[in-house]
Amino acid sequence: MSSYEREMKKKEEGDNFSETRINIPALKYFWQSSPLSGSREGSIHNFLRDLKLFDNFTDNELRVFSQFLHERNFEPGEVIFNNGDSGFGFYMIYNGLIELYAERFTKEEEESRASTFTACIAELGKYDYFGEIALMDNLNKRNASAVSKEHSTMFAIFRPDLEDMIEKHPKIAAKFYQSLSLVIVTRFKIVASDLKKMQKKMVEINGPSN
Amino acid sequence: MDRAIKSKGNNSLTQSIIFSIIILLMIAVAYNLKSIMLPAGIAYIFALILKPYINGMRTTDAKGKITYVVLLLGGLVLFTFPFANGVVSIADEWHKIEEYLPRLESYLQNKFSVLSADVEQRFNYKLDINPVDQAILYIQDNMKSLVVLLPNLVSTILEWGFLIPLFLFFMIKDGRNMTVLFLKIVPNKIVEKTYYLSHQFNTKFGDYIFAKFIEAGIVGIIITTGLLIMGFPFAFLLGVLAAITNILPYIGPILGYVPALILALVDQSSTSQLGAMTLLYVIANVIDLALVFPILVSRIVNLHPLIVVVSVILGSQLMGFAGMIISIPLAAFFKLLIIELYKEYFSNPEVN
Repeated sequence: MSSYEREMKKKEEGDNFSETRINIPALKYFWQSSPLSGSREGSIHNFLRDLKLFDNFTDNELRVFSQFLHERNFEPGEVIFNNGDSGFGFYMIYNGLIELYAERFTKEEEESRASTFTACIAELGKYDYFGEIALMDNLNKRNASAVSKEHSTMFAIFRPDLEDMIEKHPKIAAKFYQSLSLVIVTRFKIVASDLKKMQKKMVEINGPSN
Repeated sequence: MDRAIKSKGNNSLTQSIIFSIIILLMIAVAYNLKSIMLPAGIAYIFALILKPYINGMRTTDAKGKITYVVLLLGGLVLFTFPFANGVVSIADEWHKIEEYLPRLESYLQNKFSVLSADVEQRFNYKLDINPVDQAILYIQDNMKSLVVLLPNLVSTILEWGFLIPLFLFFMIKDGRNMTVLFLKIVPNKIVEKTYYLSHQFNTKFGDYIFAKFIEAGIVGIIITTGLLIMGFPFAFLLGVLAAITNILPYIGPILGYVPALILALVDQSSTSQLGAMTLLYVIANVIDLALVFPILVSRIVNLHPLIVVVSVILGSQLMGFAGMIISIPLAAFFKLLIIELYKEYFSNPEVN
């Protein structure tokens, strides 16, 4: 969904459309329909627009941000990173299927591309993203293993790119860090609520500790 | 223009083979095109030094950009006059050195004959070899070869004058695109670490060379100003020499001081003048060690003194003067590389 469509949908959902104001979405529509604009089908810019992570980015900011991305292709069974590895990249899935595991793959498993793990923490598909801790943590340690289950195409941003972005486009870098912080906070809240539920269950099973 | 997505299949084995072939080809080209690699290397260092300022200029608003340009032009105007003056003075002093050489020779010959007579009297041993004659012969030979090589040298400098700005322009303009293109061929397994380590190396290398230039400049200015105030001959030349030798750690300041000491002895300067000159060199190096080095250099490379000395010796043996300069940031990079490899292969991931 393009930004134009998104804005129109919001307005249809109940926003009062003021005719007296300049119609920015309409201008945006003409801009985006230009063959030279960055909103062509299949452009990185268009893909980023559909990611929740970039909700607060303007079209121009997305265009600039897309210049810092690297397209990476993975084969079925290829390990993207291993638990405990040094990591410096954040990945956004354009297509394919990624599985995350808490365990670390052995060298043999990595080479044979056949894992024995069954307990997958999460299965991620198009428009999902992972590896954000690597951009924020100074220890740069991966706390899960990621493996590509199909032919996958992802857009990665690495820590050096972000350092470059901070120097060249500090506003965009700040917005990106803000978005990442929100993602981490959301994930933290989920973990905290899961922990509470587990504690409750343990109390129910074992009875109060005192 | 926005980037479009071109999804394609990928084979990691093919990727690894292509990557290895390209790296080998790059090494072979670099080895066979030494005449181009040197100006390219200098342009690369300049690009690393200039990168933060160009980025700074890009990010500021119109007012900031005007301030940058005004500061740059003001700096150029302020710097041009003393620089041009300095070059003229250095050239003058270089010509005057020729007058000093016979005096230096006779002074050294005298000192050596006194020393050899003393040795003969005390130990009954005659010194057969005269190091002064040998040193003078060595200098004369080198001067002759310099005259023969001068046309070549001039053409090389002219070639560099064209090549370095050209390389610099494209490195600044397309540096990021080159990095992105290179990363495309790096296998998935090592792409994150390769990029991170090369980025760290570039940052450390650029910062270190820049800090060293500033440090050398400060020492050179203090020495030149001090010697000019004292009325010491060859103030500009000695200042430049002190700045250049300062690039070498530990032995550099002593090497910078020796020519001034010899000149003072040849000139038969008074004890007070000799003392004042020595004090000036001490003060300049104390300022360097206590203020400039901790603020500018040590935060960039945090290495044990022994590693610094060993890396400088290794660098000088392998690549001469250039090796001495780049050995320290290279050692800092290897330290980082070893730490990363250690983390990768020896640290327990469960503990981390």
